[in-house]
Amino acid sequence: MKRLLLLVVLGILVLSACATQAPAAKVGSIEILNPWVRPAGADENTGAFMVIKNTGDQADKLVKAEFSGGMMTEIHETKMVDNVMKMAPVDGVDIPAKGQAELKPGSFHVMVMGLMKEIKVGDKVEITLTFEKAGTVTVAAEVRNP
Amino acid sequence: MSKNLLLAALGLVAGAVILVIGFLLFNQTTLHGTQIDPPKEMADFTLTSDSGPVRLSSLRGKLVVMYFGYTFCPDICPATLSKINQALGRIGAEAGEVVVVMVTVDPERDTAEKLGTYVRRFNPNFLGLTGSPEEIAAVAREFGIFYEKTEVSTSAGYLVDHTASVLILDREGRIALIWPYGLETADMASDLRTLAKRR
Repeated sequence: MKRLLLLVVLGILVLSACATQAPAAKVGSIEILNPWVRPAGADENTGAFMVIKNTGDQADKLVKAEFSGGMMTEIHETKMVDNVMKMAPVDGVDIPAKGQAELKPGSFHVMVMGLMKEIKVGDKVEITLTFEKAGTVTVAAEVRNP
Repeated sequence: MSKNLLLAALGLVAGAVILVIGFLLFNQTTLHGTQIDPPKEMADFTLTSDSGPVRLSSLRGKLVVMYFGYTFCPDICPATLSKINQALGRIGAEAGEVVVVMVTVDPERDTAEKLGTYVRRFNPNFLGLTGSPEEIAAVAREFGIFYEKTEVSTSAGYLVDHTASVLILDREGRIALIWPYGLETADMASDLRTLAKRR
């Protein structure tokens, strides 16, 4: 009985260790980690952020992002130039071979324009990402504050 | 011989501890960002909120945290307002001494209603102000805030580049401090506490 309990505890520990490292989604050599979206109201815009890992030998590029809960979704980059914040749409985000790219506040992000309805902290939304080489993957992102 | 060494070592440690404590105390009352000393008098203005016109001078008596942004912005503006709100959370009851105002740099899209709904999502007491393009331009110019509409070829239509600094006005309505974008909430909270003590 004691042995069984020990095995169960060990099993849970191993599984939870795996869970913390498991990517939210995977396609080809691309892994998506920790995707999250800012809460926002209906008709407002929001941003989605995540870490994109490339375990392969060839560089790849995120070229498209889609979210059915918004009127339009694009990939944007925020840059600070001479103390002025500039944001512009970009044609994609390069993910270096055996490297990663981070979509984070103040930098690259998926911009969702015109939310159909409010998304609140705790909700989960599905975003579809298309990579030049790896293809398309849908990831469940958590709505939360950083 | 060893006794002297021990005393010297203790002395060094004591000295180091005093230095660290002194630094921490100093850091707590040191303001972050750019201090405007003496604080700068600003021209009064009246802009529109979703509960009517708001005159800047009517906010005197409290600290005013002023941010110029726009609701179409998915990244910098929510990040900044969220951080300011967190800073307020850290200072407890003194948050009542602070008024947070967001002035839009996108008066064409940001109506008073839209702004009000947007800022209150971060904190029910936040104030959103808009006006005519001319009124906004005058206020931004007065406060040294640059902003520029940038047309984009995508469905975003246009985006607005803008200074992302946060301005802090003292209780007399003068600019006392400018926080750079990205300042940590702990530093914001510390500054608000320090300025709130000044009467």
